[in-house]
Amino acid sequence: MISSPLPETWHQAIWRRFKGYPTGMLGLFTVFLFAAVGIYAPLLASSNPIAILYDGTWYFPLFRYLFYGEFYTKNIDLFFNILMFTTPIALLATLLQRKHPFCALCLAIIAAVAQLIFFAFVLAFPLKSPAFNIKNTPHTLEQRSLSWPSILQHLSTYAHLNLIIHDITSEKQDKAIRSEIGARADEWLPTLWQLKQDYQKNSPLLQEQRLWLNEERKKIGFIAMPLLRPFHWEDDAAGSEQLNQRLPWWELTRSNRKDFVAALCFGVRISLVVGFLTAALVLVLAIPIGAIAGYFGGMTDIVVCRFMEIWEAMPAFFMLLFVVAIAQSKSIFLVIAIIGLFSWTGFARYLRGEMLKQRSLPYVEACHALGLNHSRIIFSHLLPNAIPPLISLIPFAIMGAISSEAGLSFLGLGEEQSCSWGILMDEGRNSFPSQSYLLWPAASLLTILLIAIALIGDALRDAIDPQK
Amino acid sequence: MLAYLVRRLLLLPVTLFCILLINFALINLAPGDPVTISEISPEGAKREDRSFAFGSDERWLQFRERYGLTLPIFFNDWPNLTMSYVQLTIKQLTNRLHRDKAQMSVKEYDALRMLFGDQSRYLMPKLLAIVSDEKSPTSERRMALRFFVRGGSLPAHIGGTVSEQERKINQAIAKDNAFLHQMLFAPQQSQAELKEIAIAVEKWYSQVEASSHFAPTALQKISIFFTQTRLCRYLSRILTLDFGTMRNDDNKLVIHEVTKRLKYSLTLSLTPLIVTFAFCLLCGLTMAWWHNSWLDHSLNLLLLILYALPIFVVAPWLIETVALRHYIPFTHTLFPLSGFTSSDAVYEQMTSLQRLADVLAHIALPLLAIMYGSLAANTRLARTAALEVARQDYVRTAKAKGIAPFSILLSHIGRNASITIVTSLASSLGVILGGSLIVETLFEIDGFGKFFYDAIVNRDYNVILFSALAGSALSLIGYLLADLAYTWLDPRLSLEDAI
Repeated sequence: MISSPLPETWHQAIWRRFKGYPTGMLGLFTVFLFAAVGIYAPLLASSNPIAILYDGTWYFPLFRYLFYGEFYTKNIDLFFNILMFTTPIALLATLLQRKHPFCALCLAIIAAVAQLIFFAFVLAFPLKSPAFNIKNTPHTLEQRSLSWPSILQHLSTYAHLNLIIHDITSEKQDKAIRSEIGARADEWLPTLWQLKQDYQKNSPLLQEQRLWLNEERKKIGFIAMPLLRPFHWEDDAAGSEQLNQRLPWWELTRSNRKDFVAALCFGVRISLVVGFLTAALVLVLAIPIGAIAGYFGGMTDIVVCRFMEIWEAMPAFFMLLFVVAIAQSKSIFLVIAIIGLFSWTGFARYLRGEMLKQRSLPYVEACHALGLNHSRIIFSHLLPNAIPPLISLIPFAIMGAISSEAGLSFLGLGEEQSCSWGILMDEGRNSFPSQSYLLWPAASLLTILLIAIALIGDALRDAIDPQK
Repeated sequence: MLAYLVRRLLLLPVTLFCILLINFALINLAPGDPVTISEISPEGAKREDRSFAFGSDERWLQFRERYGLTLPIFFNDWPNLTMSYVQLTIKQLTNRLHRDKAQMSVKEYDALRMLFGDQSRYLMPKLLAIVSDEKSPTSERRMALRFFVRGGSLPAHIGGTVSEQERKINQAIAKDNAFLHQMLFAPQQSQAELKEIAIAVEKWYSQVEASSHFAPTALQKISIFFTQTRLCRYLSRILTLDFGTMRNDDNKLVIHEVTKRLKYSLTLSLTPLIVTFAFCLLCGLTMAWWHNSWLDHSLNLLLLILYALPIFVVAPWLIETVALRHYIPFTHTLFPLSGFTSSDAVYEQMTSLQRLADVLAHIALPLLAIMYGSLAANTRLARTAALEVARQDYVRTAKAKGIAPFSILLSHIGRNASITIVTSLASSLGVILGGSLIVETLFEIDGFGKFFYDAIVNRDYNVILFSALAGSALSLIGYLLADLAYTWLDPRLSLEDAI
């Protein structure tokens, strides 16, 4: 028997052609890089060390705090923290796809299910704080005394570690800043370390703590801090405007005294979520509506088209502002919902056209002759043929969504207390142009991401439709 | 052609009406009050503040009365509320208890108080009955009196233009309201005082009963059912083109303020259309002419990148590098930082030519910021269209006839490719207006976009409403223009059966 190689599938053909476009590959690589930064952001910027040898025992505070909802207060962060573990499984599935398709499918399903279950679990049963030592915590107020040893008693080792690490990082930050701007450092708002020293002068309790910290710091054998910054993006990192003007960009702090680079890293997560959720929402809305309009035609088609016309006539950006202003809850999910609601018509129109074209083809007639019902014809015969051309529109939709979200945040209508790049840029704009150093890092990252996605979209369109 | 135009124009109000309905639904069904501001403080505490937008409770109430926000949304059945409902609610409000005797939270109490206050105008006889009923407890009678006063005080006509007749009505209303509020002065009324008040109020009520419809007949109830609703008020305001006044100045009409600013916005949105059209066609045809050459590829990539650049990155970049720091060569003192013209004192002194130059220098950067995106997108579109046309049979025929390639490019390909561009540009009229919002805000040009943005920041309800409508109307007109341009440029297309 002669075993002939399997004919190339549609996806393989697209991928082969896509690889022929260097710009598209560059874009894809850049987006993957951004995604990796976003998913593994805690390894880049966090106040918890990845690993630490303390008093002869190894601790991994970063992982201990990874699913703790009061350290990562945004649900998006918790979701991505779980993604840190499911991404490798998904990657493995992609690698195995060629040789062991079944294994790959199983792995992909495992990754997706694990992601959802763990996320639901983390949301439903919030973890208790790793910092408290419940056993030793006195139950009545009288038993609590404000002496340092008694406070230590009801703090767990993780709390001890937090104190020590915070002490070390703030001293390091102080040194770095001093070496950067020299002796005049004291003139501007103090650093965290400086503040600590000031408080200690008047508080016997803190002096006691100081002695203890000095003692404990000697016990630390090895410490592996996150790669870029020793601050979580939600942590206070001190700093001030005057200080900012004399610091290199990696030492900057935001206008709410939080670390800037950490916020940049975590901001990728917001953009990714906005892009993917909006695209999903748009598809969920556009596919049924477009398919029904195109398949049934006639009166249905006219009504749907009229409706889409009306919907399109509303200027999307105005409506975004309008809704955000009225709804008053500046949540990122509201923004996503609105962007999705105002950008599905393009997809639906395209799909409708495609369905109109396909439904008069012989294979659909054959389906009718076989007596298949409408839903079967639409879902298992027409849509698989009508959707592929739609794929080339998705990158541009994602691009539009990310840019709209950033634009809204830039105008001060995004989620407050968030690390979205738009918010970071807004902070830079508020004192523009004197503080524009806060504007440009986020602006450049956003621009690079958007250009990368546009490059992918362009290459994908050429790959899907090589005639043009 | 004419029939199509008429049909299209007839469809315009229908579309606009649907947009109105959607706007209305958004305003009324969204959680929260359009005039209440709620924000989360840096400490994470949620703060709701209506005094931010309105100096006092009184003004807030006045605002809600004026825009019909005290009315129910779709239909008004409040005159049919029963006496037992009134008694129960008064009891609840006096004791701050739920029906199941549980304590009410402040928020629930406020909501009930507001709802009942809004309803009180339709419950006047019932409230009066409670006030004069000597058997019910004093506290409840006092509570009923408060709502009676709330229901009895009618809103006066406000605004810049009050006619003589309206002024007379206003005086009567003011007299009534003063009388009613007098009834509330002493917070600790005794039984005897309350009796006196009840008699006085009853007397007042019997006087005004005939003129004000506090106790509507069955016919009036039906009319109230349909007309005294938010929907009806909203539509009647729109139909009479009454968009009200600015929030912080009752003498400024919204429409007047918008038309004052429209010249800036139109300059910033129409000029790009013309420039884009010319540039796109030129560039697109060039790229199609040297199809697949290095020029084509590099321009294509460049335009893609331009298309992907967000406007809120480009605009600050232009301000900083060109206008402020002069990093780009030859930009010393040439481009002012912000505004549409120089300050009035300087501008008045200039000759016409100088004025033109002044305006051009001022709007060069904003125009660039508004244009580059649509420039990039439409040039790529022009290229695709030109390539598409170049594949057609008639172009091949023209080539076979021996017409010079350049004249084919211009009169055969160029004309047909321009159809796509015109359509795309015309339908982007509304979008351009939205895009200029960021630019106007950053360059501090006092146009339509900045006006709207300020309205959102200041919660100016009227302006927000009007701007959303005007934006929709503009983009509808844009679509209409696009269709007309299509028929005009492409005689092959018959729109008679397109609709």
